Amino acid sequence: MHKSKESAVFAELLAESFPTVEDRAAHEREVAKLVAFAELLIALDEVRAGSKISKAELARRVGVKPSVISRLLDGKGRNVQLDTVADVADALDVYIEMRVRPQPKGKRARHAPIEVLAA
Amino acid sequence: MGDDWSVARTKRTQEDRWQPVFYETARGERPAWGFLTGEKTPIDVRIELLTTVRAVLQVGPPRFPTSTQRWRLMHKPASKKEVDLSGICEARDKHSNKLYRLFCVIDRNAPAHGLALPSLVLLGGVVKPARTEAPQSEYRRIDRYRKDYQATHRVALGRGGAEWWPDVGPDMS
Repeated sequence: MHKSKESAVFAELLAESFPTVEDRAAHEREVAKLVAFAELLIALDEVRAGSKISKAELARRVGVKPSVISRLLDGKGRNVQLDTVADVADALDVYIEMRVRPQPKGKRARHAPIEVLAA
Repeated sequence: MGDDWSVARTKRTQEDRWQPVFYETARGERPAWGFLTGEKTPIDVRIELLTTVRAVLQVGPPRFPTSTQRWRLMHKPASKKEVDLSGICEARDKHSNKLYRLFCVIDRNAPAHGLALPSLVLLGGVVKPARTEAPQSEYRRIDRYRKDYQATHRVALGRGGAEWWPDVGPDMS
């Protein structure tokens, strides 16, 4: 986060809210998960919009109710179903690369637990 | 400080281009701070709302999906009797059958009125029982904060030397 006098107030609240190293690490993991899910939905919806495919048409291609697609792409569901994501990607003629990799040994070099990379 | 950071950031994100700020009233009150740290808001809720705000900042407020359980863009109300908060975003959480709403405005032009970066302005919050509407007076209060911010661009300033910064950035100027 950029340091400015005005953003320092938020930093003060973060410091107060996450007092220990463990609290901060857990917070960062939760932020990283939210960011990854949001980036995934944004990426899929950009492909859909760029291909001029309506959500209704995408639902027809996937074989689900339109509400399922809306819930997924609008982020209304609390949990993103990997199964649906894969079907949506296939229907949009794209694929998603996933790799499971070990964390680096050094504690400070740990990566976020999940990250969506730009295509 | 940044040294006790245990989840390293692998890349710079939108969070380096957007900043969170607290709207401040003419009397020096910070309603969003009061909401987040007040007795009515459990620490678990505060943590959830702060997590949402950080994620929105990292993705970039204009890009973050605005129909999610956690983050929503307000639309025009169905009835003219209701306060129009359209254009305001809310970070949302539910806890023990109560709904917690932290209202924010996205200010892309913040640098034009003296802030360091485009800003996500935390206005204030509302708590209400699930499946109910908060009193319109609560929404009017939030709308008043928005209008006052838009007129004055008054935000809270930190004392500096914050204990912990979530990222390594340039020194505070």
